[in-house]
Amino acid sequence: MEKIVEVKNLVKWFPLKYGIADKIMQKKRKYVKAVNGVSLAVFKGENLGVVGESGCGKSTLARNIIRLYEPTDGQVFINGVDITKMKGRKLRNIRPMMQMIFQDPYSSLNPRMTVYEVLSEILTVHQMVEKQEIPNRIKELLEMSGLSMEIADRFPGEFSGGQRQRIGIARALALEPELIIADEPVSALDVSIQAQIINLLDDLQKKLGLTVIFISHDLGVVRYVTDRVAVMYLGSVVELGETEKIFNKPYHPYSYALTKAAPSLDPTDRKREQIIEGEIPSPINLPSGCKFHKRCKWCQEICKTEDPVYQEIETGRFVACHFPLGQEERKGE
Amino acid sequence: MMRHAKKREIPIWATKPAFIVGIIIVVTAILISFFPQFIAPYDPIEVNSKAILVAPSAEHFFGTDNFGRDVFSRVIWAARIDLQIGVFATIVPLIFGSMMGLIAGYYGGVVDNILMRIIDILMTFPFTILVIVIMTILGQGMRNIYIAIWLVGWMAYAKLVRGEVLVLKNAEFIEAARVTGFSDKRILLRHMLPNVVSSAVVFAASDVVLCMLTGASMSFLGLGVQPPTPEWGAILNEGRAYIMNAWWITFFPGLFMAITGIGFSLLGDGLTDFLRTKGK
Repeated sequence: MEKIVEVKNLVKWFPLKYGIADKIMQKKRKYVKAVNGVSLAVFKGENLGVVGESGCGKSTLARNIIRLYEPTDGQVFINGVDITKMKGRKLRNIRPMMQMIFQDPYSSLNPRMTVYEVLSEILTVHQMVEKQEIPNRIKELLEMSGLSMEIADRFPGEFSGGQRQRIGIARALALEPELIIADEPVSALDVSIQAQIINLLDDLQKKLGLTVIFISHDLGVVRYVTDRVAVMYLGSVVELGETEKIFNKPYHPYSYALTKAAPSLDPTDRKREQIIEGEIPSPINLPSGCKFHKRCKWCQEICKTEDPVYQEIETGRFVACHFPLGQEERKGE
Repeated sequence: MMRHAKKREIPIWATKPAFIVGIIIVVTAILISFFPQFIAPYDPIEVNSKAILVAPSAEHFFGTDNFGRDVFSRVIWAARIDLQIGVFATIVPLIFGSMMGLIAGYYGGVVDNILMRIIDILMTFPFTILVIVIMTILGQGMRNIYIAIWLVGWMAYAKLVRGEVLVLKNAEFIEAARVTGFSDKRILLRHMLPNVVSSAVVFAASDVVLCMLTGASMSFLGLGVQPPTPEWGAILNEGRAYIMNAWWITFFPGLFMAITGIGFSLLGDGLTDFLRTKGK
């Protein structure tokens, strides 16, 4: 399968404020280690989910792939082109093929531009269509996103969250991208609206043949829309594989805890014992060894000192754990 | 940022009377400054030895000064110079300062640090003192008043706009504009500027007063316009010696200054509410 995105060993650290006083005291420079060596590939036409608790680096990973941030280390390839250090016009020329849908529909639209202005600016700057075709194309985009031309002359302040998110989707589609990164696209919406937006995205992906990276902390949604899923913990991918396989049989203790923590509709399936304990450690001082060892109930000595290797233990199934779950039974099979 | 409640149609003069008063004063002041020749009954610099220090009367509304010049005519003609100082000394810093604030806030880093430290240091000196120092170096005259106020005035705008840019820089619609592949120039001017400029404009409306008063102070100190040019600060200064027996020479230019000042302040306050609610 064709790789549309390939991320190799991506690292993103944000420096903390380092004042003159710190310099005089010769304190060590501190960083928020948001992403620590993530490698993954996204295949054309698939929907890859990225899940994890808040603060695990999901959004930072996305913003590095789409180059809102410049990675500290590692590489990002888009259709085989290295965009890690790209700048200026070159980067601007590659941007249209990857677009983003943002989390907060209330801050993702310019309050002083009408819907029409937002869309026509994009179409004009990138010369997507002939000038006289612009109104038609805007109509098409709005209808594709479940809106109508009647709302085109309104300002974002006049819309509800769900409508705003639809406008955000229309904006992302205006450039006819191949890749869409949806950064928690529904977590700011009312539950009743979430399903509509999820279904809209799903339909658009099929209709337009888009590739989607779907970031969410809502496991139910992820299970519903994604083909493969990457589980992130403290800036690293701990497990990656086909969604159904991971949900049915997680190998990494963290994926196991996550999938069990997700509420189930089956009342007989209410085991509370696996609910994960403790808080996520600080990304400034990462734990030694396996980053999950402080919260892992299968933790051994080696886990405290040695970082497990992220490796493919089955075809298409990557895990970073010294003792993946369910391996004993598999050996016995 | 809730969904808009249905707007009730109340005329603006009923909800914001102060704003309307401000507009009326400012518009009147501007009209006076454009057409003083139609309002002033006498030539403002014409000396009349037969009518020296005449008290206000039907012939001379505001009386005459020690050269027999009609104070009313002088005050009216002075509006032109004072408003000119107020407006032009504000517009240039508004534009330049906003641009600097926009650039410093958006790009951050070294440029931002250097610029802000310079501003911090200079802002510890009182505005008028700095202007006087620059005037002393440059010498007196109208042109130098402008230069001095421009050199000092832009810093407040740079600070103001930079602060707003820092807040907006990480707003998702700015990120969206970058993801869309717009140039920095377009992002700054089309997406950032309209959202940050309103507070600078509001500040400018009240800054007009400050600049006008600074101009008048310079003339009062003898650093500004040359006699016999009519200018409120200069008229005040000339009348100072006669304040005990001819109060009208100092009273009326002072009154005009105060009214114009209040007018611009009310306008500024009104603009704050107006720009804040618009587009949200």
